[in-house]
Amino acid sequence: MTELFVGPLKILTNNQGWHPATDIDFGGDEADGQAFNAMLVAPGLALNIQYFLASEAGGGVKIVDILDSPLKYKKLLGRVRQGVQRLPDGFAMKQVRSIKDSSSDKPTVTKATHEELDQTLGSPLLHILRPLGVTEVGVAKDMFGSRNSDLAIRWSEEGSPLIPFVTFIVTRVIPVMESSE
Amino acid sequence: MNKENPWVLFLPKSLAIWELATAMNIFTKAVAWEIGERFDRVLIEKGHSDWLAEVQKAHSLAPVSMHDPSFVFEVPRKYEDSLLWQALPPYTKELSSKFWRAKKTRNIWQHEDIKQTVDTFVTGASIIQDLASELDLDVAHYGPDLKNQITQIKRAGGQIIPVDQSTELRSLLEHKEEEVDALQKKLEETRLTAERLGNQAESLASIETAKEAAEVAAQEAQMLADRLHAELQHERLLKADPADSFEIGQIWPSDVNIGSRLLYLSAHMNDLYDAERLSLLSNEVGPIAELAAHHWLQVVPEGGHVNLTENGHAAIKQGNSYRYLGRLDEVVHGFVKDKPVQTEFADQSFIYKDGEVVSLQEDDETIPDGLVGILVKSGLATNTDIPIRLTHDSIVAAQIDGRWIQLAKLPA
Repeated sequence: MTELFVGPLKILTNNQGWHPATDIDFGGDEADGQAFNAMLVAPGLALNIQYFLASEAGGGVKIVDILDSPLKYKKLLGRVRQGVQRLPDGFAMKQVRSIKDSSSDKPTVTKATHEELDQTLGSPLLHILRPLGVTEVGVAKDMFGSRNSDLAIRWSEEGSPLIPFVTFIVTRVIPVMESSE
Repeated sequence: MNKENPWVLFLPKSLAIWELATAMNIFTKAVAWEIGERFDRVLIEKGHSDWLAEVQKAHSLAPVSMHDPSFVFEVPRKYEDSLLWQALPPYTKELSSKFWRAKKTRNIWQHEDIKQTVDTFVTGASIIQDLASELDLDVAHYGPDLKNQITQIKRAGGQIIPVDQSTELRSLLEHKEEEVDALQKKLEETRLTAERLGNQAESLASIETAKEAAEVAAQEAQMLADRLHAELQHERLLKADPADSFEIGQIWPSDVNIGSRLLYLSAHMNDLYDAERLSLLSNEVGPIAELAAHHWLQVVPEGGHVNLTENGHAAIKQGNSYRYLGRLDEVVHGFVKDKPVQTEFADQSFIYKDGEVVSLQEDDETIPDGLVGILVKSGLATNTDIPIRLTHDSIVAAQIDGRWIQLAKLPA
């Protein structure tokens, strides 16, 4: 069980760990795989979040319930999923983008820099991610030869399932938290 | 020097055996102490500065303490020619007999205390008092004081002070602990004085006396601490929680305290979330919270807001009412004794009658290990057929008045 502070929020996990589940894989198809559940909490806020990994094609992180949280968090429910890809030797988020306009009911994510995320968090994001097993943070084009120049994060098989949760908080939850509605 | 008797009169507040035994123990020790002091004072005056060693040698005794009731009561009774009689009234068979009876009384309260009664207490107090009066001891008044207290307790209906026993015991323990501290301090002082005086025999005897008193007081303190612990457990049981008799699923009565700890039964986490502490209950109490959540989610799959009482009883909010879920610490491995079964049954079923279990499966007559023992211990009537079933998670249930009631869980 874990209680990890990420800025103004805390990630809660317990002993249930990974369990069999069926959800949407990285490519958008329904697939069998494993899910890891957690809660993101702060005073007056409790969000159920799930990290799904299909057996073959990766998966992603999304909010599955906002419980009694303020209605503005409803815009995150099932949307703006953070995709996670399987690599031969681990995992990667090759397109780490963040919500810039959180006033919209249907927010979208746009390109973000490492510095912008540090600013959103109020402290260096790597200070949290490194101990969790992140091995590289950089630009997707440089790290993977992708065409895009999005921020990318890579970790090994041994990396913690909390890595995408931390990223989700910084790129999605804190921006909504800081918005007025 | 007239030393203060450390065995202060203890008046029982009830007729509980531990109080009677304590009172009798203290009375006998008080009498033995005063007689021992008399031996010491008189025999030293008569020139027997090492009288204890003389007596030990004369009667081939193992090393003894001059205040030990078994020594004080036994030697004068057994040895008519003992040096000790020089510190006592002239030997008579009658006085010797009083020592013998005192010793016998001390022994039965020491070794057979649990068999004793109020009547044997009164008789015993009279016997010890008889010896104390004959020797004109200061503590002779303990006898009538104790007997008078027993009369008062009987008049008061068995208990003289309406405060709970633990309060009384705690006070006694604090008093005793202070006494232990004082006696240990005294022992240190006696040691220092003895060193200063060159550790003469008399000084060494004083050390021995102080040491014995400190040890005895420490033993008494431990005894009181044990009793306090037992009493606190007893009182906790006596303060019955009305929720103990609730059935799982019943509506929580509005006149029973619902509990002030607010939690959220989370199907997503299979746990209970505490919004005030921003923490999962499993992080606080361990896996029992996840086991409880798992069990309760079988009753209320969607989860919801739960109130938890101080004793761990949980109720979930449903509309304007609350439904009882069970007690947090009772749902270990999904088993809740004497509550209706909540999970699915396995295929096998049995009949229990006359201490025997019969399988109702024609193709499988196996009786699981431990099942017969559980049923025999359950106290179920044995002269009628009682249907028995097992759940998938090995909970043994009996059909009683049309309901399947959980009896025990089969050993793994």
